[in-house]
Amino acid sequence: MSWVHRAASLYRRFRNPDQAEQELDNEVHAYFEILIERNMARGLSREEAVRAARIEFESPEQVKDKVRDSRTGAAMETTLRDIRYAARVLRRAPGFTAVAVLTLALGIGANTAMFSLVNAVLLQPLNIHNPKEIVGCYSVDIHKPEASRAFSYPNYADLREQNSVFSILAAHNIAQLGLTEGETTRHVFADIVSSNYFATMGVPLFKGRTFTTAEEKPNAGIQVAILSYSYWQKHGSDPELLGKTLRINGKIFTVVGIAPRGFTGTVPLISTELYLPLGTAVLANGLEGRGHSLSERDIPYLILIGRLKSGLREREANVQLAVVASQMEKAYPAENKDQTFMVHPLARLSVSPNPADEGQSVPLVILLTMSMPAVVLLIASLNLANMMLARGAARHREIAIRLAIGGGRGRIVRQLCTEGFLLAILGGAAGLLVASCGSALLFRSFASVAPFDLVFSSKPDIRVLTATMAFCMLSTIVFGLWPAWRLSRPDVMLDLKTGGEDAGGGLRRLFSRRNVLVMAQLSLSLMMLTASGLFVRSAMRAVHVEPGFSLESGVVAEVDPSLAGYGEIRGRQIYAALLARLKSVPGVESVSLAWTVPFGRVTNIARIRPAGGSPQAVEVWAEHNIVTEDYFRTLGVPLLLGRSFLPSEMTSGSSRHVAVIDKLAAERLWPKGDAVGQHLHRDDSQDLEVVGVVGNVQERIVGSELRPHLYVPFGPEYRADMHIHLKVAASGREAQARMLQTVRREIRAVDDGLPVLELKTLRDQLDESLDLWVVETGARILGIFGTAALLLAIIGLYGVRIYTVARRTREIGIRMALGASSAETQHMILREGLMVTAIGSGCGLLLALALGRVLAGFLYDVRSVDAAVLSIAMVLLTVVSMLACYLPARKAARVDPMVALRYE
Amino acid sequence: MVGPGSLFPALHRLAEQGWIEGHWGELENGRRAKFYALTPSGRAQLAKEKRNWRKVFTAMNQVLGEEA
Repeated sequence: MSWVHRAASLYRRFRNPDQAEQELDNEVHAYFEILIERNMARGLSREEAVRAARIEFESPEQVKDKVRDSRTGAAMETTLRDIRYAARVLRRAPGFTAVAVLTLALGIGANTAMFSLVNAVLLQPLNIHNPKEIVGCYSVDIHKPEASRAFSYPNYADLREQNSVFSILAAHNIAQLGLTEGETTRHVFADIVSSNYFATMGVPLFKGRTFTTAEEKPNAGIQVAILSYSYWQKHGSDPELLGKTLRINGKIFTVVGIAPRGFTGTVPLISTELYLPLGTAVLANGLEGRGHSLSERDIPYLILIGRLKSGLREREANVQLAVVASQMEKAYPAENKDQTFMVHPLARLSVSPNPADEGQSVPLVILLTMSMPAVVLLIASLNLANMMLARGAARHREIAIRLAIGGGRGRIVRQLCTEGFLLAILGGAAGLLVASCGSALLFRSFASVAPFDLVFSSKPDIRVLTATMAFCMLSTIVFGLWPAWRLSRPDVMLDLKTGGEDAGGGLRRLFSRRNVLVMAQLSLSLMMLTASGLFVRSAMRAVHVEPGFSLESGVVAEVDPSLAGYGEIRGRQIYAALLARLKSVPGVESVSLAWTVPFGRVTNIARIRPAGGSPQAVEVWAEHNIVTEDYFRTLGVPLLLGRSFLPSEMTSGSSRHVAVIDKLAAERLWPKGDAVGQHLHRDDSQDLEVVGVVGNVQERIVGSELRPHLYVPFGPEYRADMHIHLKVAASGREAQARMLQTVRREIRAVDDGLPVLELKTLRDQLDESLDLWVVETGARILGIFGTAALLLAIIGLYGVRIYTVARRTREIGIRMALGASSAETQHMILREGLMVTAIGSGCGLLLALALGRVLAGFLYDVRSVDAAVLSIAMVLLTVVSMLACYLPARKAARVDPMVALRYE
Repeated sequence: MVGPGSLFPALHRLAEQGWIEGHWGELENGRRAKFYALTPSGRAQLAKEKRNWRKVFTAMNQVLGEEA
């Protein structure tokens, strides 16, 4: 029961610490007095008796300290005392505290902001019931395990009915469709889902009901929709929204429900604005009246997600699924040939029919993302370490006294670290504020280019708070522990008497700890500067991109007849009419259609290989575009070999299957240069004759390498969601704006009901693209990091220089008294500073070159050794450092020998 | 003799355990001092420790006796 006594005594002490202290003091002093009296009784004088007692007794304070340390909760008491003391010390140095907290806020804030992004994307659990339980179900070719495909609705329905593997199995896919709001129509993403989709996710709707099985039935066409919570919120949080209607793809849909708040499906952060039942899949994809039906077993469309029966493991489930799959292959040999089924933990970062192993790459991604801000924190911490060292030297009297009266080294280290940690906590709190503002800003900016709803809360969760705490600890170790260890050396008095390490010869002084710290900061900041320089350069290059087509005179319009409810026949008529009408507009030089546009949201990939070759022969993943005959002329892509498409290939009746490829694809498939006239296979099936080779084009900014292209004519491959490209004579903002007006009017004149989804110049298409946003935002963030790093390093350099001058004032005075001129003195001080800068930037150059190699693979049009960026960064660093060295040197030159000699 | 630097921490630890209790009193010369006395639970603990010590002591003696 002794712990009861201990707890009670602890409680008494905490209730009334002063009384406990007083009691201890009385007790020890009473004992001391008794000792004195006893000595006096032996015949000593009072003074001698006190002396003898002191010798025997250690010191009363020491005894009291030992008692305090031995009591229960001593560690806690000491910590509290240290914190109170540290707070007092920091309050007494408000300037130092402010600079330190700001420095740390910057360093920790950058890290917390970055981490809260990483957290939101990679770590935060999804807003669904027990997300770890969710698995994806995949249909894989037995012979090609890497090739998996989506499920047809009948396959899904069979699997759901007969299987013993899943407790629940849902199907869905994402479609892009046109949502009309008032006068305008815009593209939105919708999740086309099975009736049990929300049940599988295990979340109740915010309002209304989920879809019924009748609504799920293929081609049921019951036009109902569920809205996302944020859509509802953005449109005035109408409490009476249920039962109202929306115009989607030209059809009237009734709102039956609102999805739960914060619901983002199986991926983090982004949510579709709408959910539609599977029964409207054909309509939602704009494929009405084209013979497509979800009820066909050979149309793979659905992505399957489910939960395994309880207790069933992945491996057992796969064995059972293989049996089910082989039964289905027997029943439907044509459609299910060689297909087996398997489950896999669901990918978090994609909605795809392919199983993805992203789990292993998560730590790597976190490491890469966090490395940049980590460097900022490192620089901030090094800087603070220097500040602490300099301050510690100024506090040598206090530390020396504490050592002299018997304070152990451990206690002093602990005290100094507490001071550091208190600073780190203050910095961390400020950093959290910086971070949550920063990440909210970043997301608002991202939301302006993202084609979907972003569900992000900048409020830090427990993971972010823990991470921030970890950043505080880490930086304390760098800037607190190490200086504390140095400063509390028992020979500190000796060190100070001889002037410390500053007293050594040239080399030793140059590589003193303070200077090495500054060198490290300078080299890290040069690396950061170079990295941000490379990003800025990439962004600048991207603006002046020479994509292989003419960017300046292009206009892009996006229309979609299916959104007005028109099928293929009417759609073809409309496109033909649009081309004819726009061609006759004065100022329009040529017009064409294309399925995808440069820097657009969508790219389509096709696998192509030479016909007749074995399947193991070269295979190329090409960007796949459907275009009309004038496409290459309109965009200014040069025709290198063969011919372009013919007008006769633009009608649905055209039976010749032809293709044009770009130079890159031609070189890869037919290195001998005889591409024209050859045949190629697209996606293992269709045979196309190559009739021409055109120049390479660059349609992406992120990811620097060129990609091969495959163009096929619009004739046999009708798509409703085509873009119109125009080459216009107008130049200059105003003329172009007028041109856009004219184009809009002409499109209206062809069909009043046709929604114009987008209409802008090709230049704006680039400027407003997600690609450019990534590069520009990267440049901006790194620019901030780089500037912060430079600023911190320069403050560090300046601080050390000015400190050195102060410490060497006496020496400088002697030198000048012995006849050194002030110019010589200035040189001496300046030389050392410049040496530090030179060594620091030399090391930084190596770091920068290494980082450049990494970045060059990722950034648009950037080489690993970018002379301009490197030299600008070097010059910037050198100029600012020279200023930081010059001012203290000038101060040294003005030292008055007479004053200096009396110094200290 | 035990120095005060060891004595006081030991006394305070024992008091915290509830094995001894201190109260202020007066010496014969009138000076105030703190007197520590065993509590009942302290007595029990002491008996226990004594037994323990005897066991160790005997065991040690046996071992050393055998060696000699």
